Amino acid sequence: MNDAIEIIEGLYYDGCKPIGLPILLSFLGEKTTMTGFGISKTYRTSQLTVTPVTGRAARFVILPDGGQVQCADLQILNVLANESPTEGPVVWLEKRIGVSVGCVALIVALLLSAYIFGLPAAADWALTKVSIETEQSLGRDALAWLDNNQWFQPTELDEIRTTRIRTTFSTLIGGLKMEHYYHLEFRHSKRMGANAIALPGGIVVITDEMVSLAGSEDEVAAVLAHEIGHIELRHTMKQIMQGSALAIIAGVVTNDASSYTVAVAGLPTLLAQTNYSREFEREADEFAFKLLKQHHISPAAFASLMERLSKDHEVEERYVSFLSTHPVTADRVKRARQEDGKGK
Amino acid sequence: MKPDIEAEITVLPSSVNLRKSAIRDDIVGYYECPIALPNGTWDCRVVFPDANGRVELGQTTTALIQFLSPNEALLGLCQGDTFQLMGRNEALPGFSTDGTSQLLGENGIIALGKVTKLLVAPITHELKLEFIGSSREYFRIWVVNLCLTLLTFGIFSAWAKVRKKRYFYSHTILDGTPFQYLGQPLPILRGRLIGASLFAVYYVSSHFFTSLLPYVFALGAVLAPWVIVRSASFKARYSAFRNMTFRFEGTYWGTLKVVSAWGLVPAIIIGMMFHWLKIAWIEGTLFAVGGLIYPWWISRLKNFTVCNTAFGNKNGQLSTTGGQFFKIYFCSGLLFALMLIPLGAALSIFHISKNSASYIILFSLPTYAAYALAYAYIQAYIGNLVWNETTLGPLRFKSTLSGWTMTNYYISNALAIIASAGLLTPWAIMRTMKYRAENLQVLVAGEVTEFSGSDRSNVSATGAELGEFFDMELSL
Repeated sequence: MNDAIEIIEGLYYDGCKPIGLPILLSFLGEKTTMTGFGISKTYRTSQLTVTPVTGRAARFVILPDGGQVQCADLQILNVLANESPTEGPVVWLEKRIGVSVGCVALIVALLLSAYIFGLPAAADWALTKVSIETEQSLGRDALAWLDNNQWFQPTELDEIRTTRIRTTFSTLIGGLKMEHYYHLEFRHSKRMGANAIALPGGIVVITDEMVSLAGSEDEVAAVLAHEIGHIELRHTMKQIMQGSALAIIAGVVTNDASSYTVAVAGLPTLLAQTNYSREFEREADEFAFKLLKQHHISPAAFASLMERLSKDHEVEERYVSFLSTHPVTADRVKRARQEDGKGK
Repeated sequence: MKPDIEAEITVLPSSVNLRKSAIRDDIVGYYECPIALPNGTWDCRVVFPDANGRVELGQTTTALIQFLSPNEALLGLCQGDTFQLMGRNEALPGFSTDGTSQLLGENGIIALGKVTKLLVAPITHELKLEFIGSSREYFRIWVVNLCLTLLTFGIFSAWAKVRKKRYFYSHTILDGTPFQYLGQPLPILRGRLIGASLFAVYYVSSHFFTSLLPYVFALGAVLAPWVIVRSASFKARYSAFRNMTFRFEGTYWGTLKVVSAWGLVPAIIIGMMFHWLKIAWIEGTLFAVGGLIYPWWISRLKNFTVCNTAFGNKNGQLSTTGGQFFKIYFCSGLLFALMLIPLGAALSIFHISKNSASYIILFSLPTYAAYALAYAYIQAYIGNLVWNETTLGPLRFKSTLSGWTMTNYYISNALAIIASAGLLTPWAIMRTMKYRAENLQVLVAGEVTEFSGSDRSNVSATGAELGEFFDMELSL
């Protein structure tokens, strides 16, 4: 600091009345004097602090006695201590247009790599920390919830049918990593229709509607193999973890916009999540094809069931594939037939 | 307009000559002299109600004080202010020139008084409110802070919040002075960490251990008033204007009473804990009652928030009725229904399947538009209602948001943000803030000097950050 005197204009707020008194602040080395109508006060310059630069806004010099002086953002103010020292470096970054451009590139890179590599890897790692027992209790909770909330009704299938399907199921799971944790449930479901789901911890639920839709034992086996794929690859847990992480990231990124628009945050999360989910379906399909072939069942059974299902649902899928949680049926059928061809 | 005040005046026994000089035989008694008020010394005319203008020494009497100078004499004058009447050493107009008037008080204090009433309503004038934020500038702040937040796995978000708040506050200018945001990053970070861990508990219990959920809700209900009070206090305490901070004075019990919605919220939570809500009629009744009293509940919440918010020594005043809110919600619901009924009819006529592309275009997009309209309608008119009915000391507000314009803003913002992959977010924020500021007038009936003093106690940021996680902030 040199000894030249520097004088700036400002408005003094004493903190008692919301009135600004025009004053002059004179900086002279270690001393700073405030003079105005009926005011003359001297402070040590080192005791003064100043609010950080924010855009083009006026800044405030904070006096040790609780008063404040509003003044334009002038160079001389930077000799004073910053009221919020940790913000200094951020201000430096904010001022540079090059940094902004770099930030945009960095954000894109960060989000993409987190999406493609980071989250799946983190979920895989986190999965190693979750015990199968925890997963099982989650699965039981989920099934109880579905049962209690009218998603499921007790099965109406006869014992002979269920026993046969159970036999197929135990053949399929024989020798798998999670063999001892599997558990097959039959349910009637008006809401879901023909469907089968894999819950955490090895629970597979198949609906009566699915069983009656399936044209053959092999088709039932194909559905079960697909769900077994989800369980063996622990997709449900992965989905929950990746989904939560995605929601958090999307929340951070879109949070600013949320009160200035309607429902923007949901869209990126939805798109990203359905993409993950399609990926899981593909993985489960591949797993199922392999498993079926191991047990000498043709993956063509999977293809024919998919075709029947899509007729049943009358899905006009071509246009909505990017919004769908499942891959386009035609692609899955093609893959299954390819696998079938390879097997022969 | 001449400002007048009514005052109690006690004539000091020492001003022996006042009686003599103040009396004139031919006209109503008054005398002119300087009056020393807290806001300065002014010339005034003191008129005593007694036709003779006779005052006894040492006696307290009511008098009318007319200011001879223009309006600024009333600047900041309040009921209860004390003053002194000064004698003067010169001949006064309206008094005889036989020499007696020269004895008037002899330059000292001749009487003490207290203002009992301001007779002329002070003139209302507008304080200019403007938002001067620029999209380019804010873009840089936004992108740098977002980048640092992602790089630090969210730790930096506390700094980001301070930077953004600072930008909003300091570019909102009332009567030439910017608002100030005083929050500091470290307390906010601490609050966020606590908030995040509690949110994780909530998330895990709502997704994995659903049987625990009612208890988590019960805990939440007990904590909620505390969170709301802390959150509102933090927000108020760290918002300042002209070196005076706002204050929130709500208490835990006061908030609990308002938030519990006449016992409905506890009833729903207890219902969940004991699985009563599975019984259709109980669930139906609770939710029907909830829906019906909702406008009254919101009205009570808003009144509570405003009345407990203070700037300096003045509390906000708001007394809306549930009916006013009901009208807004009802109209918004009606608007939504009117847009969706034809849509539903069209769908059932043409038998469009749920997964088809035509379904998305014909149904989802108009539903979104209808939702945006209903939402913007509520935002705009509740905003108007609350601002227009609020008074804060001498301040009155006039909000003129339009539901239709807000819908346009919301939808065009959404389109711009999606089309630009988020890069236009700062632009959307800036233009909407500008629109909101342009549609809010701040009027002063009286003088801003009526505000005084401020409390500088600290408020922890924990509650405020919890509130943000659970969306529990009470806001205007």
